[in-house]
Amino acid sequence: MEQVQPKQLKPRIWAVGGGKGGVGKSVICTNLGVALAKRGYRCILVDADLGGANLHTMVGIPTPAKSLTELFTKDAGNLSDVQVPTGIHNLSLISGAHALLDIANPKHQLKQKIIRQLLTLDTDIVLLDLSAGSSFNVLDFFLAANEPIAVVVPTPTSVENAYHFLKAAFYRRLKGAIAQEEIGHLVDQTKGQKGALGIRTPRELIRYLVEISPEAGAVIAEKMAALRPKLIVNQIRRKEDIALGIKMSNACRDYFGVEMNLLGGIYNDDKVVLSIQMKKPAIEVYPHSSFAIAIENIIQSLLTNNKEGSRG
Amino acid sequence: MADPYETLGLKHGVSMLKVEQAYKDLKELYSEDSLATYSLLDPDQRRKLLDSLDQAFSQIVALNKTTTAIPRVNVESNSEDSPIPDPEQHPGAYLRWCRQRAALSLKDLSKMTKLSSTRLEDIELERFDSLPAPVFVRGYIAEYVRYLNIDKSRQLIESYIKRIPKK
Repeated sequence: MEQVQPKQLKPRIWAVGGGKGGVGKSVICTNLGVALAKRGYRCILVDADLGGANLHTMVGIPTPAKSLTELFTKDAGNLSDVQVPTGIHNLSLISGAHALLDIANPKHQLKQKIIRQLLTLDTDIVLLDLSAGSSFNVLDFFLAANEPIAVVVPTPTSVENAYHFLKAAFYRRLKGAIAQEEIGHLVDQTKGQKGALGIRTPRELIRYLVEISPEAGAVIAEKMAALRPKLIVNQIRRKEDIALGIKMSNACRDYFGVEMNLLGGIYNDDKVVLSIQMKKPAIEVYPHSSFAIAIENIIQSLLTNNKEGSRG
Repeated sequence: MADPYETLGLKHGVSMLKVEQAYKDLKELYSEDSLATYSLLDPDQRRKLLDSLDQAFSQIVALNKTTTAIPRVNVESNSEDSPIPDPEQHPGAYLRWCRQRAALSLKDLSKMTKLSSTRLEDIELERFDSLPAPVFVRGYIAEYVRYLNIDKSRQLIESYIKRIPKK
């Protein structure tokens, strides 16, 4: 497919996270990439699950010779040098395989370097597959994305981890914003008297900051409102499960004051497991499965919501 | 003090029906066994939040009682403090009570349900002779349930149908 692409455009970054392992982040991320590539978008899958990298297997290629590891160990080179083709047109992969134990936690500077380089990749969309947990590595990639996507499954454990993840992401950004506006002392003053000040939730904390320091507060409120995570409810088994997504989205608005739009629900589909066993993306081998259709719908809503997308 | 409408996530001037719906939804969202929120809030936060919902709701109810004298179409003189009719014994009266609780006249509900005011009144007064076959009546009551936000709808429908004399 012919691409008319002005060079100076940065790629859009979509990051798939959500706290808990085994909720389908990698499967969703891979299939989003494949589906986007099929639509003619140039995509790079980045396996940011250092220490648990397996995206190469999902697209059916052997462990790549080049991976993020080279960047960490040699402390040189470019992110674009370690991308490998996937055999699927328009789709390449930056693997996280071979990661040694200690580089699962890259140094802050190195991480910032990688985030900067992500934006220089010559591609339309970069898809980040994040690892489980809420470590700073994961959070910083999530917060750097244009489309931070959280995946939950309808189980108490997954929902709990997702909230933990969202809270951690929220506070990481809030802390940064407060430091930048230099009103840390005002926040410290609230300690121990949150109840008296009527601050029960992050949203109320921000409202309070706007009251006592209108200028800095407004900047912070704006920064926090710009955090617009998206939500996917995966492995649903009953129609009611999708309501969980709507409820979580409402609760997030109440609690964080953050709009977390629900991208959609994905029904539990055995075809997905079969496809992984075949080492092929489900969207390729089972393009009519409920999973594939759900992925297409999710892409549609991400692309239409986002008018300033790389294709304009 | 927080704006009670804002607490319920509503704009000012919305109908009591909307208020009730929002209140009910939020109570459910923040109930202790709600999968969507139990791990978001600690027990203390949850309790305070639920309290604030209750407070906001009763504030709005009080506001509506004093400021907006919504004309109530009362065929019988039904005072505001009249006891809640038993939905099992008097399902028709209960439907009427639900409608009045939502501050809706027969005409209002007629517009919403596309059922005539006469038909609605027949249902509420249990004028079985004027009503069509039970299968239709089920549908009518389902409309009440839909617009008036009524709990235990199935039971209510069954109680009503049971009261229709067999021909």
